Amino acid sequence: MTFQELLGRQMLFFDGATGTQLQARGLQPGELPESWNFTHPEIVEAVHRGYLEAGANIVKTNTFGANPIKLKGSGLDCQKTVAAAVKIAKRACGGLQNKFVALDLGPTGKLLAPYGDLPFEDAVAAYGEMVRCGAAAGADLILIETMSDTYEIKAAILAAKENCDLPICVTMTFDEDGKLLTGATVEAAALLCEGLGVDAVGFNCGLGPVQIAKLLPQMLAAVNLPIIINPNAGLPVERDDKTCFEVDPEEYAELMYNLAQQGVSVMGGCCGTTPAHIAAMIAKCKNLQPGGWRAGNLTAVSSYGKAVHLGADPVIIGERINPSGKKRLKEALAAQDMDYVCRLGLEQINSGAHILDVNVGTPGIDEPAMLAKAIPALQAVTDTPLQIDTSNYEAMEQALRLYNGKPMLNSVSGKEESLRKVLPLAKKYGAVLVALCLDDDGIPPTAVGRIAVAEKIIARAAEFGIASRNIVVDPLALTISTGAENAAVACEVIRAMKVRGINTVMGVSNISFGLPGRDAVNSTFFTLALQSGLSCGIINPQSKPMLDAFYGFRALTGLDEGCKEYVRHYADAPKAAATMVSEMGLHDAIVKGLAEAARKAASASLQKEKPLEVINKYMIPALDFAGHGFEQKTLFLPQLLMSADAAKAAFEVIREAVGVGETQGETVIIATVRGDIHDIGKNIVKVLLENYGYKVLDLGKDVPVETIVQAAKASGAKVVGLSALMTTTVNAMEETIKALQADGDYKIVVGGAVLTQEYADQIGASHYAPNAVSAVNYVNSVYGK
Amino acid sequence: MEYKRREALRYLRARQDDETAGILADTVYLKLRNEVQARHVLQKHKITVDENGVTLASGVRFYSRALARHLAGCESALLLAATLGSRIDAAIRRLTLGSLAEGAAAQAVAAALIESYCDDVQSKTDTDGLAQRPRFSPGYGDWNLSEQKKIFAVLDCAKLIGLTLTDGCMMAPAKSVTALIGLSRDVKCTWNKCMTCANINCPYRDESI
Repeated sequence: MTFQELLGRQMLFFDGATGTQLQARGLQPGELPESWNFTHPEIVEAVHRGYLEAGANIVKTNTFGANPIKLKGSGLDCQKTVAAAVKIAKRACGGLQNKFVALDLGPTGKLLAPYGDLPFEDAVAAYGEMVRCGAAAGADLILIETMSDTYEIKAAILAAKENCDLPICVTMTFDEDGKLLTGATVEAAALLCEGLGVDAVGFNCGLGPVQIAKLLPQMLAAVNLPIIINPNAGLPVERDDKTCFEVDPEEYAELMYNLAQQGVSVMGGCCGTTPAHIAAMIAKCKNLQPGGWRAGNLTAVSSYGKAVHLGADPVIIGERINPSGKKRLKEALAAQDMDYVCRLGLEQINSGAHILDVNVGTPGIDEPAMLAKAIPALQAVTDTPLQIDTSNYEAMEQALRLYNGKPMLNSVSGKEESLRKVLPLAKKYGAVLVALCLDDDGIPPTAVGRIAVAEKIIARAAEFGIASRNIVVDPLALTISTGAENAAVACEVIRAMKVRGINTVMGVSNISFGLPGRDAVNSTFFTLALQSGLSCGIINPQSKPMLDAFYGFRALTGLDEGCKEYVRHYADAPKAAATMVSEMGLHDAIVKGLAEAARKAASASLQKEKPLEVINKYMIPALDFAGHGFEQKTLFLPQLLMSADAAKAAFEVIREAVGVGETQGETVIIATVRGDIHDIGKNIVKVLLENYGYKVLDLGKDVPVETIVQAAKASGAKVVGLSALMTTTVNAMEETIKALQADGDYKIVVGGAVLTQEYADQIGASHYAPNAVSAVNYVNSVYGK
Repeated sequence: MEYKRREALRYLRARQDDETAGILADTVYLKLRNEVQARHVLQKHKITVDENGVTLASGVRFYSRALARHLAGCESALLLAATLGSRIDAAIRRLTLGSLAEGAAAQAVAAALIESYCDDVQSKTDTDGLAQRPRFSPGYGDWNLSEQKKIFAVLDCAKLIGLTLTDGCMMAPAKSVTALIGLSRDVKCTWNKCMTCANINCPYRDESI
């Protein structure tokens, strides 16, 4: 029988540790275990045999570190290594019944961007190479193991799905607190795997059976898949400067037997386990019934860090990242200002959004490219799950692919084209799918009509293998200004779906389109919808009436136990502490570093004066004052930063009022050079320059020479600012300067703790800035200000 | 691990009596502390030290005269890798978006925290009565950053604690430390690393000694 036929039908057993077995047979520290596939194949085969004879069903190929990225510079070739390893394992299994070869995919050893520098698609391609080889060589299944980063897990799973048809198992390494190294909870990590369609999921390495027993219930509750456990033989212990695992075979067997009772389907061992451990475990556990699949009905989405459940307790989806009617956001998108998008997201999260809707579709914007920028940018700063909102199928696929977690996808409708295009994507990338109750005949005017469309979508999704618990129905809130029954219809659909066990979502504020004083209608409708059973409301979480409705509803229905959250939210509401602050002038607010006061003062000033006047009369002098004080050492870095923050806040107010164009002048390029990640100084310069009215193109950190040169040329900038902190990176600075001078006539200002005037002169810089203020003064002097 | 406000202020280049800066640092610490997922790997090695570098018993050699000076007279050393995890990186990015002051303070607080964590780990390590010299890391003096690869290979950081190296030999997650700590019989007073650094104009120089 095949692995898939046996999975869930009888308890299956993995082998134990390979590394320690090879070390016992002479593997030297620093020597790659994978090299023994060539130098000592007979020993590798013997290790496999040892476990097979102990009763294991599955042996892992000796390819844990055979990822091409990991093997770089080692002299070993990935494809040859994988082929050799699979061959050896198959030879060991030859002729035996119910023995399977698992192609072992371990971590790449690098962190994926944005936390590290490995691009997601490079990771997918690297794993793809291993999978193609392993499948061709005859592996029976894929094991993705010892994973501690959800993004890397996703890359490996996609590589497996796109390069073979073999069953896929994923085991992950959690710490004792139940988190992956990149912070994911057991639930979030497991949901990602289940969404992507693996066959079994579980734990390996890092912990012993006792610690895993504490985490197992979380995984059992989160997903319905069969569970795998490959623990270490206990937690590591240092003895005589060596790492040891001290749980012996008998104790291991006992602990695993207890664990298995919780509903496991595949068991094995990791570091510290030997054929004796495996044999003892199998002797005790072989007649146990595997837990198999569970019938849970959980609807949940996840980010790289955490999961959000959709169900009886309603959640808020923040709607503000949507360019329709938002001039400032449109300008930010046109300028590819992801910082602005992120700030919009963070504000909503601070106001209580549980999920963020991300929509960047607006005329003149390359939506696929923009969404492919926005999703990673948001993921880099928050672990709040995202709802991918687009009707552009290319953008949809890119976003789904790059999303780190189990995404929510807005949306599919009953239209033929939508069903045909969206369902396969939702299936492949494991999304929770929003289903709009409209089809090629339009929007049904009655609840019955809309429910019929919903059922049609659910049935078609089922044909693709998308379970109804992963569908969230949007009944469509049409404005009551054109139809008196629209609110009632929407609520009726919500009620029907609730009875049916299907979650619902709705863009609540659509109900009041065309009416004045929309808040009153929106918040009341929100309450009606919540009362009808709405699972998610797409709302503006910064709208007080909407939040009032939400908190009130949860308190009244007992969802907010003891009204704790209600009390916390309203008891902390800031009173009229603003009175003193609101009298302060803009100049003072900036000098004192008070952002809130600066914001208010800027608004007030704009009532009486033109934006450019406000900037030149109050803001620039205030910044000059702060900068001068910094140079004279009457105020220090923290004060300078707070002044810069206050100026930035004021500037934002002005921009919201008049648009970006009027307030931006000459372009300045800044970057931290290749090999360096220190960027605070650069960031301070950026904010100060922007406050002085320059348009700053910030290339970020660790920026290659060519990127800086190209950006300078393309933007027409005259001034380039370079930053570096480390003695080891000043060479990159020198190279960058040379390349720029060769390409055009640039004024290059340099800064960073390691630089000096002499060194700056030596490498050909136009100006050495010992601090941010000096840099800004220099740029001003270049432009004669 | 202890949050040392004094150290955070030093990294923030604020004066120690700057109240605003102190409040800023404290506020930011409260925002960051739940994002910390500290992990470390520590190994003890017998070493030989010559003028140009330090060699581990296994044969791995580190080339740096400054390192050699720092470990002169030691027969063994601790090799340490520690990280605060990648959630801290995300938190710092998040804070920087909202406020430059908080972003800079976050960098400073995190730097203070990782150093504090390393101090803790080292203090809990039994070194048979030998004194621990100050930490010395690639990037200090003439110890080339590319030598990080050697440390990473010996400690297997990527697998054990998820600490990786980028192509440019920078560490990811970023709030991380690798270091060689000489173990010596004499307890000299070089307990502060700034004392042995030649860059007397460095704005972060610890003037307290």
